[in-house]
Amino acid sequence: MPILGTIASSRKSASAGAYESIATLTGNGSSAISFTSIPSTYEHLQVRIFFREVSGTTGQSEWYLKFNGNNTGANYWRMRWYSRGASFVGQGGSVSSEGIWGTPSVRNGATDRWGCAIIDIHDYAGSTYKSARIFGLGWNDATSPSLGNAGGPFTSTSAISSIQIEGNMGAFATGSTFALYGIKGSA
Amino acid sequence: MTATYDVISTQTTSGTPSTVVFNSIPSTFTDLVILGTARYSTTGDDVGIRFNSDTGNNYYWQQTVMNSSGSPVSNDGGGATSYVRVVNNMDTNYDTGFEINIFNYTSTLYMKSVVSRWSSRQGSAMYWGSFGGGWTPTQTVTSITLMKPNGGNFANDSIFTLIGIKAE
Repeated sequence: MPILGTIASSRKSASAGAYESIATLTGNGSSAISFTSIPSTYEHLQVRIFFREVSGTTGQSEWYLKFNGNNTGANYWRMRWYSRGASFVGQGGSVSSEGIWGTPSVRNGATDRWGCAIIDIHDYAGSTYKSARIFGLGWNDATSPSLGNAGGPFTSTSAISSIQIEGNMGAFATGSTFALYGIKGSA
Repeated sequence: MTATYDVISTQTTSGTPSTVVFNSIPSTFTDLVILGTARYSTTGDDVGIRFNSDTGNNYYWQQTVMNSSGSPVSNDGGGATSYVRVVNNMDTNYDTGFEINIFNYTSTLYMKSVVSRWSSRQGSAMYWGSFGGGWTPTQTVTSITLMKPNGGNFANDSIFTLIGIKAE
């Protein structure tokens, strides 16, 4: 069973404006991060992550995005491209229980390097299929950044009440942060 | 209380400067975002970013550019460089729109990771691109310089808005 990330904080008071911080989780050697009990009062969600792994040398690795603890392969369609140096790879059109592809990750062997990513989920509480867009940076080694764009639909009509970010390489390092924001619709 | 998403400063170029600088950036946010539209004046179709006036080879970047006439083009800065490239394929006649994200900018433990995306028209061709990279020193970012790595100037009325995002 994956170890949930440590909850660093949760929103204690409303901030002015349409863009609000909901919760922030931290990596602590956990292999999966899970935002739970997401309120349905926003229109869209954004997750901003800053991260690296605790294991592995260098080379390509990745993370995955899931919703509502749903491990049904047919619910996650995915596409991505990633690049490193002159190399460009495009993949897509597949379904997988792994979840939606994230962007390139950062193995422990990429000394002192940290990746980042932005995950946008529109109309997360609606009654139709949801879709995620992901854009981010990884590191193949300490001198070679990797860049990626990914995304795909989550073919469930249920509102998203939880988000899982799972690595396929081990665990997220201490210092990794995962920040969930809600974007309000019109009043 | 710091707002979650707040404009720190907006700069609109008057004349044709070679740099746009944000100084005295408050340390009360988690991430920074720069949104803007810009053209170049006479030459220089790319934009780089530097932090805290650091001109040393403490930066790395990777780019992928899609264009209307061919396959994606990917390359990197060739190892450590003196800036992170964040925008490319600008034009002197058409505005380029861009978004630059700087993560964890106040950390004194970790490097600063940067990702950007932009779209442009250059002549008769359309471009859409992404950059990613970082600045390796473990310092709080207190100033940001947007510059022209290959020379040239920003055009008059180019707009740059610095935004802070605060995670609670």
